[in-house]
Amino acid sequence: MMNLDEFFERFCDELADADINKLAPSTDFKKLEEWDSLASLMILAMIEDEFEVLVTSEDIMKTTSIEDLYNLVINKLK
Amino acid sequence: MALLKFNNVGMTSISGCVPSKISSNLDLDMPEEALEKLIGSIGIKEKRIADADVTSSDLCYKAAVKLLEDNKVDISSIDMLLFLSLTPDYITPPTSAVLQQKLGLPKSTACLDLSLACSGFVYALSTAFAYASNPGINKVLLLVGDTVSKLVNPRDNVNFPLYGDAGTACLVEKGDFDESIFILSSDGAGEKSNIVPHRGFRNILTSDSLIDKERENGNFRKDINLTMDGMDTFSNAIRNVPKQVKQLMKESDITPDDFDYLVSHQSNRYMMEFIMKRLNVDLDKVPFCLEKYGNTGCASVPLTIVSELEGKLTGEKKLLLTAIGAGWSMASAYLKAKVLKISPLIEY
Repeated sequence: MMNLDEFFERFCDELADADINKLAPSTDFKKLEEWDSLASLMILAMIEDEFEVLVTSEDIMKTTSIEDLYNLVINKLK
Repeated sequence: MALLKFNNVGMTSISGCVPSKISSNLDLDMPEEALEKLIGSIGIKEKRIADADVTSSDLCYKAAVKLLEDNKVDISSIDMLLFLSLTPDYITPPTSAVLQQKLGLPKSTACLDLSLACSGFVYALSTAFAYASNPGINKVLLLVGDTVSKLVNPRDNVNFPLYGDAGTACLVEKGDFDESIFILSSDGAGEKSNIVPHRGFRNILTSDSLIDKERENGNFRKDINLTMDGMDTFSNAIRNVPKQVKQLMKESDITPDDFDYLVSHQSNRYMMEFIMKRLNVDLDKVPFCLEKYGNTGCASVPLTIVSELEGKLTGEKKLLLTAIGAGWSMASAYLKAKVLKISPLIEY
């Protein structure tokens, strides 16, 4: 199972334009300049590819940090 | 599971009609960089928009006349007319009956209106096959078209760039056809994800329904406009379309190497490419017309056949068709096109 560090790395890979040095698992990703509709689709695609978990827009809305999102995905797997 | 198999029925001819008026996404009121990114991801440069006085049935009518003329079809031989659209002429009478009269089809023609969003053509094709399998019906004229541009708000940069208008016609009849297989499904949990909230009878039209209201990120929509939750739509499509197509391949005993074309609903390029990657389907086998015509709703699968496969279906070609739409309505089909005559795409 992918751990938080690996998830964080995959998350950063998808946000190609983001300055990775400024990101951390605690980052409020929806406030990032690079977070737009395409970025959100790329993250959903990554989660589907890696976990085969259905993440809804409501899920994204209620998460703040990258770590929150990781935990949400892991909880859905349980 | 709704798994349908048909023998000795098939599509023999198909045609399409798009409005001549072009609406370019390059003209959208957005910063240049954001616009480039948007067009790059949705893959839609322009689409065709019907004039205010042109309906889905008008586009389908023109496509039908073209199909009947090109194939010298005796109109008295048509036993049934099916019309599928989200944008019919009226609540009543049925648009299929209006089209029957306009096309000069005999009064003995059975007419039926159907309503589905983007999955419409593949779903209705199974309906046409089912009727044509009955001894009392030899030929079904299937007319599928939409003017979704009339449901979207021009100040909505989420939905407005996506949708174009088109009408199509397809003749389904008895003949020497191999088995075709359909899988149909739906999931009403997606009720709110692609919705026109007012105009129906759940939320009756009021003067308030007609007011432009500011929504997320400065987009404007009336309650009679189409609204879409892009993330939910994407998540459901990338999860469920590959599953259904894989199931269909299993039931048809084929692999991605065994068919010639996979004609998909033209939703957005990024999503379609992701789905094809999950299916291990080579993009050379996946025709795209959304760059020119956008998402034409229920008409997108037949429009893609007409605009991209004309002249390419010589001999026997194996086709997979797949489409997903509102209500997470999904339909996929595997069939062999033996004698499918494609008329050149026409403009209204």
